Amino acid sequence: MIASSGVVDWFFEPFGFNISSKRTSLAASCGAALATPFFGFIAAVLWATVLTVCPCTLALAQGQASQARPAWPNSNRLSGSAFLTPGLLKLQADEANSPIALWLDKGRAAWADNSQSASCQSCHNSPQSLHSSVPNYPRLVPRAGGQLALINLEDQILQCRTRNLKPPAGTVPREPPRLEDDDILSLSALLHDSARGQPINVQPTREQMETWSARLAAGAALFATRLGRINLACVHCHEQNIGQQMRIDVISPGHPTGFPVYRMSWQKIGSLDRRLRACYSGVQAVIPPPGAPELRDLELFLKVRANGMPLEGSSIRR
Amino acid sequence: MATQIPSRLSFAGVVRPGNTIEARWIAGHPMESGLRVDDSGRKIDRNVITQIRVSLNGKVILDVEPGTGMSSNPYLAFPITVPAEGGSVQVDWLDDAGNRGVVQQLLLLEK
Repeated sequence: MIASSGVVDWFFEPFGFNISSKRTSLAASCGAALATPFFGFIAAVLWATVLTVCPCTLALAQGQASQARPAWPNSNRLSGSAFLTPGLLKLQADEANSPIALWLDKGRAAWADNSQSASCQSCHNSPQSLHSSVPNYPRLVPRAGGQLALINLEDQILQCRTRNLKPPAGTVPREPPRLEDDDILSLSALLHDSARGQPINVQPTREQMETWSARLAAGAALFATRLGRINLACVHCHEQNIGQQMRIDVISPGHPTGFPVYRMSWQKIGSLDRRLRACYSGVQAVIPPPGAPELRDLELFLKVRANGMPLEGSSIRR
Repeated sequence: MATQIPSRLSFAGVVRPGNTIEARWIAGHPMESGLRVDDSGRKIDRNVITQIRVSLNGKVILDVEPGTGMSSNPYLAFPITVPAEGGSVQVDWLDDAGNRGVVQQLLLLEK
């Protein structure tokens, strides 16, 4: 069981500012001093206080920290791939025969498919051209009436295809694309693959700061809210019990670096949206519909929490 | 609308005349067993790959009739002895919905 310093601790973690008394987290807040002068100032004061006033406390805290997480060093920044079985890791590394390769093939075909008046290729040229914007999702985009909508990459692909792809004259229109369509997911896999190695970088613009912070806070609150008949919050597993066994699986910190994932139990690729809905189902809560705002809030929080971790392209999960 | 079902064929081992290598084929097929129902309770039609035919330089070397027991995204690995002149391996498949697919890969001889 990992010693937890409670709700306040993880809430501030995304900002690089951790108010627990562990040495590691204080070092992290000193790192943030460069980025955020205000937090940096407080962190420096705290750090100086700890160094000068209570060296004994520091030694004690160090001792506790090293006892708390012996088997999983830095486990709060591990990708889900670190928790895979050797067999699945081997499959994931096999670029010719892994099922992900099939979805990338589908993605390439969908990217170049110009049977509907336009294709992704006709505007964006190669998927590689978008590699720098993939790590910035979810982001706020303006909507009619001055509203700001929080959209992720799949929403963006859906929106782009709905707006730009028109069936040729005289043909029966296809069904409008939906969020869970194979085309959308395989294009998302292709784009995430092109952004492999790029660090997740979700930031607000200056004008969006207020809405963005509100959505982030909503996501953070949801992360700590008990849900369902099982009555668990995300924190109970993905903060407080990382590295522990749950049924047959080992609990990961839940960083969304490998999405969209090929999950063995789904036998297909699924988005983070679907993975989060599966969590709702896991705790026997009312499952929100695909694309629900609360799922986007949670995704924003998870991405901000994982800011700086490299994207890994589509990955395999159990 | 014909659904696009990707398939891949690759070889593992040294492609040299007389060598036995492993050929690996994978397809992104749903392999719908016909036993499942959708969200509204309607039965989903059976759609599995019913025939896989592998030919080496035009000659059939393997004929498979998979059934509902095979998972989605089926994977098939089989040994091939590389002929002296090299050549190509072709995999043809056919499913219940009438979709056909073919994937061909050249046996490029290594020195």
